[in-house]
Amino acid sequence: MHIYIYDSLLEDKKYQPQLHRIESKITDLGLGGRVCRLSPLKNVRDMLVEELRREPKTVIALGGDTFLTEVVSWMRGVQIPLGVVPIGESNNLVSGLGINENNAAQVLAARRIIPMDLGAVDGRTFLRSAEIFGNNIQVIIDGSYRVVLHKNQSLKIVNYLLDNEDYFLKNRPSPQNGQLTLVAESKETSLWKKEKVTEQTALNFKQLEIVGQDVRAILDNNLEVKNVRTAEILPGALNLIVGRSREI
Amino acid sequence: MFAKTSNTPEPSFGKEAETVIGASVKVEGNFICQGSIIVDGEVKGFIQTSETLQVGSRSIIVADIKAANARIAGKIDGNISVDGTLELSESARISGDVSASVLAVSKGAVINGRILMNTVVSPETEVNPEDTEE
Repeated sequence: MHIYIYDSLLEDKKYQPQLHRIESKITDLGLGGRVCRLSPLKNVRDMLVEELRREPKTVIALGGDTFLTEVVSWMRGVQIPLGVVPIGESNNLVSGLGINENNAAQVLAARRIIPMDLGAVDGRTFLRSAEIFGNNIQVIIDGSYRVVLHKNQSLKIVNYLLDNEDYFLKNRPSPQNGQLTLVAESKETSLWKKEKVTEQTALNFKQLEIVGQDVRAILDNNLEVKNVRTAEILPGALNLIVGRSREI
Repeated sequence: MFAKTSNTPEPSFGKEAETVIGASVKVEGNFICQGSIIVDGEVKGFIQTSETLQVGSRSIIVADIKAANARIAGKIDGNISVDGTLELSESARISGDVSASVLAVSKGAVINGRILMNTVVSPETEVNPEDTEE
């Protein structure tokens, strides 16, 4: 049995034509299952706890990035594969996983499952990256060395990058290598307000401790975590159904 | 951060490295990696890699170094132990002992310390004890 969990935003009438199209394709492919809709009385966590007890074959999340981030955080460590049908305002998270609104049903039918690492900042998970902000930041990597960063450097923890995201080394961060990459960059702004990267640092790690003032993180561009202290890799924490044209 | 339009600078050496320490970054402690490392910043403590270490001309290292191969262009205060080839470019300033199987020193490089060449037994010169028996 498949479990379909709908983002509450999909109640909006403007998504109904898209939803009907996808539901028809899913039915045509014989992938019908139990539909669960979020309500004010039932959040993602409660719903997943209840539905996972039924040991479904697949959990499928229908919604945007914010919803997916939340579902992923509660699917962490669960062996049951997660499928995604991206619908909503923002669907950047799955854009490199070979899944889009048009092919989502076919991707579910093909059932290409890959074990994916997840990143975690103070226990909150992220799929792709976490931007770190704060003052006087130092990081202690894998408990063995301390890195002191320049005050003007931007800081990002990366699990994986998409093909259109520039990276200065040949060995790009991968969500299947059991480590995260800390990327620090210094930039200069030209007279024409064009940003130019002047220096880059890349360090792979499994666990890091962050020390600094007012340290906060934005996970996958949509979830803010304050007073950040740690970040770590969660190897193979998610079994994800991906498309053939995935970039990872 | 990773915008395709950004003018990304080339690392001071090749792109094969997995770890890069930029010029304004300081590292303190036991810096141990599996892949190749590029250091353009400051390191204090110990550096170890099972692959190649490349040290840029602006870098300042106060650490003992252990690597499979190394290319040094910066200032190092510490002992360097390399299994394979150690290349010192003209801007290299080494205060410490150096050991390597192959050593290449450019004109202008400075070494204040002992130099120990690791013994390499090539297959052609290897002596078979049975051959020497009368």
